[in-house]
Amino acid sequence: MTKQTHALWVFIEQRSGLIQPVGKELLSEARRLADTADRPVNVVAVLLGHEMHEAAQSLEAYGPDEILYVDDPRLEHYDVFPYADALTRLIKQYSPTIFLLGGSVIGRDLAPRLSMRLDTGLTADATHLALQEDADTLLLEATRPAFGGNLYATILCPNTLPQMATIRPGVFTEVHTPHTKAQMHVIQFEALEAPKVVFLERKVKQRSAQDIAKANVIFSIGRGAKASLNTAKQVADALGATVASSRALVDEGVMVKDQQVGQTGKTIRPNIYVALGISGAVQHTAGMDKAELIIGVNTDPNAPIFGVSNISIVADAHAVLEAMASQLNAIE
Amino acid sequence: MNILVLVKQVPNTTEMMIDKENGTLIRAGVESIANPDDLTGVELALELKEKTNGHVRVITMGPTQAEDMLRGLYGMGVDDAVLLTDKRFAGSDTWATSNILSAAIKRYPYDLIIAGRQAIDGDTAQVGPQVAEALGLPQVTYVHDVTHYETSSLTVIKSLEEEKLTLRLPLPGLITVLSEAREPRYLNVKDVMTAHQKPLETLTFDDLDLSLDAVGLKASPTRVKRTYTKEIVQKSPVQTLSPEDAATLILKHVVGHH
Repeated sequence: MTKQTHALWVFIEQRSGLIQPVGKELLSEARRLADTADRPVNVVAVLLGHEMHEAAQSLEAYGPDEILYVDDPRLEHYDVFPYADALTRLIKQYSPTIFLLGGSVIGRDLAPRLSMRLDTGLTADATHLALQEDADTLLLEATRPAFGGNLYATILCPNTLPQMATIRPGVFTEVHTPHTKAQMHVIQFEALEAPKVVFLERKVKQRSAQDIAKANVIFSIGRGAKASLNTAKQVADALGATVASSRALVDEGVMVKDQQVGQTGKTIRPNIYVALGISGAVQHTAGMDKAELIIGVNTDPNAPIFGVSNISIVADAHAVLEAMASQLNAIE
Repeated sequence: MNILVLVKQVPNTTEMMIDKENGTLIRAGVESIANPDDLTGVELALELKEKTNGHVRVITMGPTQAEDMLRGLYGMGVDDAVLLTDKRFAGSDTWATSNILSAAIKRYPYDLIIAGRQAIDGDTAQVGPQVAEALGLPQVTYVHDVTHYETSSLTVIKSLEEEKLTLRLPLPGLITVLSEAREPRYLNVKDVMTAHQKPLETLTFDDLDLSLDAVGLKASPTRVKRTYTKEIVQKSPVQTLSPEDAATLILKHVVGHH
């Protein structure tokens, strides 16, 4: 691997030997970014694990130029110490320009620790990426919504390497690039740092509701429809839809975090997204603006939700939900 | 058990409004509060204090107005409060903030450091793990519950996307906690009465073993290149409908689609 070419690295998260979608999403986005650059930019998939050679090879489908696979029993399950150690050694050896990681619970445990160890900058949960090319520098422009509202901030890390950013799962889509052939490097390290936290037990979470990331039709409830949450659940049930919500209702404890749409919740792409009484701050729309059909219902004709709605209805979301319930009852 | 809790003062909203004239945040009229995840950290610290006859010290970095928040935490029952305040700290990103916090932490005895998972104004979730790294401590982030404690370890439940892990953290160590873990207690009258007499320790750059290239805006590795607001352009004609007509229109699109 040459050092002269700028390298754009992507951390490929695996759990129990299974590659997580966020790694494929970021790899696809990295390929797209590299292809926009005038100079050659090497896209490198970085996988840490144990006995995962085939899975490592399968990453080829998402268009990396190279795959770095570190095989070690200590990397079989995620732990911040061996992971940060392995990545630090790789980064010191190869000096990548940019390093992208998923903003999952694992990525958000690992990336800050790594940025401190490497004394470099880390942008949290970017929703848009671009490259800025100067004479001999290649800068990552990581844009994220800031402070809710409608403010975006574009953040650079101009003086330290690698320029790091996390991106939440679901922000980018997986793209297959069938023609590519990636160069595979299998790496082994001596004596990686040992885990310090002791694993005792694993329990699969009880699903309190359907997974909103997999639903075709979402009824999403905001402050303006809080009073008719139960009606919304009945209407959604009758229609085979799933109820989600804005951050406000999760903060109030009315809905659980699993059902929150937005930058700090989930990023989803249902066929139909009905936003009921949701104002539509960027923080929220960042998680749903890629839905195929968006129906916004709000009493305020200037609500930002209408900036992303294919159908914009000025009405009281609470009353609309009650009307939907009675119309459905009439049909039955 | 000596417990340090990192607390941040944040605006009491997740939807700051922007001044359309100059693109800056409108701060006037927005109340400041202790960050919700951090308050849960204080609650967990107080519970551990009661069980272990321990000591709770809260540390915050911010402008002098953060004193009010610290007085409020005295009212919950914390033993000591430290305010890190200095113009040279202004504009620090998470890396610089973590340098400052970890330099301050080194001045005090501790077995456990508790931070909130993330602050509602920045949502980065970076400072906890960065402080752990700076101090060389083991960490567990996204802690949903503390189930057992000993002098040398803490048993915690970590909440991931699909699963919950029970983990044993050796001490000294750091955890970041979710607000779902605990409801913070109310202020108690006795502690509120004495909150104003309690000493507040204020530290500046000169009190810390730090160089200027580790703090503030200029030293921060990340830079805000620009901020911008997206003009809201309505994507479709806005139609004012009766609830009944709106319901009919929505049902027409949704029925039979699942």
